[in-house]
Amino acid sequence: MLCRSAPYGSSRVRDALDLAMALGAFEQAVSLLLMDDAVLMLLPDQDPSPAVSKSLLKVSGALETFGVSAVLADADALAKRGLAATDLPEDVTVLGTAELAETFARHRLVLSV
Amino acid sequence: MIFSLLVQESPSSRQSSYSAYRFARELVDSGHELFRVFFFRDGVHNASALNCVTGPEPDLPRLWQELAEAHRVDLVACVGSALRRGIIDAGEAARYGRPAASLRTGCDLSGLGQLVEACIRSDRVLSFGG
Amino acid sequence: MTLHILNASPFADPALTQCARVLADGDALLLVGDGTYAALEDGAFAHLMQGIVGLIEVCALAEDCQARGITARLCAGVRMVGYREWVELAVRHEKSISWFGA
Repeated sequence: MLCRSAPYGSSRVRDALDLAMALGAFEQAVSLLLMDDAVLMLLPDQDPSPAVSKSLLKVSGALETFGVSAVLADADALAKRGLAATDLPEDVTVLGTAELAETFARHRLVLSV
Repeated sequence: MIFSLLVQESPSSRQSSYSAYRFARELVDSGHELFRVFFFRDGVHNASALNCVTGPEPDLPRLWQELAEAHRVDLVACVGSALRRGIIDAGEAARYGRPAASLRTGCDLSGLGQLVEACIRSDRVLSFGG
Repeated sequence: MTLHILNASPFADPALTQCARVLADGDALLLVGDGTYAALEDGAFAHLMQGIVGLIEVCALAEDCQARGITARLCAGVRMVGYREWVELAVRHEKSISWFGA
C-alpha cells in the first residue's frame, strides 16, 4: 500500500491505515509504504483533539497486531522534512531509492491511496 | 485475465472516476473479466442514486450501473466511506434515522473485506484516484 | 515489469519525480489526466521525460492530450494511445502502480 499524503489535512492516511489493517486481518502479506508527506504520520507528539481524530501515529502502532508486515518510509522524504531516524517509531524500516524499487518489485499488487 | 478496480474520487469533481469507467468498458469489450469495482473514500459518490446531471457531462453512477448489469460486474461501496458521505441504503437510512436512502440499485454496501477478496481473486488491481 | 500510471501534473505534485526514482527495465509509463502535462516538450520536466523515454516505453492517453490541447506539444518518444492500449499495457505488465496527486 502506497500513501503519499499528509496526515490530518485529508482522510487519506486514516483510510490507508484502515485498508492496511483489513488486508492484514485477512492474512495478506501487506506492507505500508510512506512517501512524500505521508512520512509525517510518523512524527512523535501527535495530539489531535479527541473530538476530531484519533492520533494516527497511535493507530499505526496497532498495524503489527493486525498482521501488517512492515511500515516502510522513504529516506529521501524524511530527510527533506528534517526527520531523523530517532524521531521514528522503532519498528519503521527506512528505505533508500534502490530499496524502494526492490520493495515495489517484490509485491504482487500495489494499491495507492 | 481478471481485473478489479479501486475507485476513490467523486465523479463530479475529479476526472479519475471517468478514466476508471472508460478503462472498465474497454476491459469488458476486450473480453477480460471485471470482477469487482470497489468504491472507496469519495469514490462512493459513484454509487449515488440521487445525482442529477444537468449538462453534457457523463452520468457516471448510471453508467456504472448499466455496465454492471450488462457484464455482471460486482459494484461495492465501502460502507465506512459511504456512511460518512451519506450514501446509504434503506436499512442504514432506517438505522440512522435519515430521511432517504441514496444508494443506487446494483451497488452493495460492504466492508474492506470485499476489496481484500478482489485483490486475492484478481490478476490485476488498478487504483484510480487523485 | 510494472506499468506506472501517472495522473498528476508534475508542476503541481512530485509524483513524476518519485515514480522516476523506481523505474526499471521493462517497465512502462502511461500518462493520463493531468499527468499528460508531464510530456510537455518545452516544459521544466522535458529533460526528465527525455531521460525516461530513453529508458522505458512512455505513452500518453490521446483523449486526455486532445482535451488539453497538447497533442502537438509532446516530447519526442511519447506515444499517444487509446484505452485499448491501456488495457493491453495492464495485461502485459505484472502489476500497475498508480501515482496520483497527494
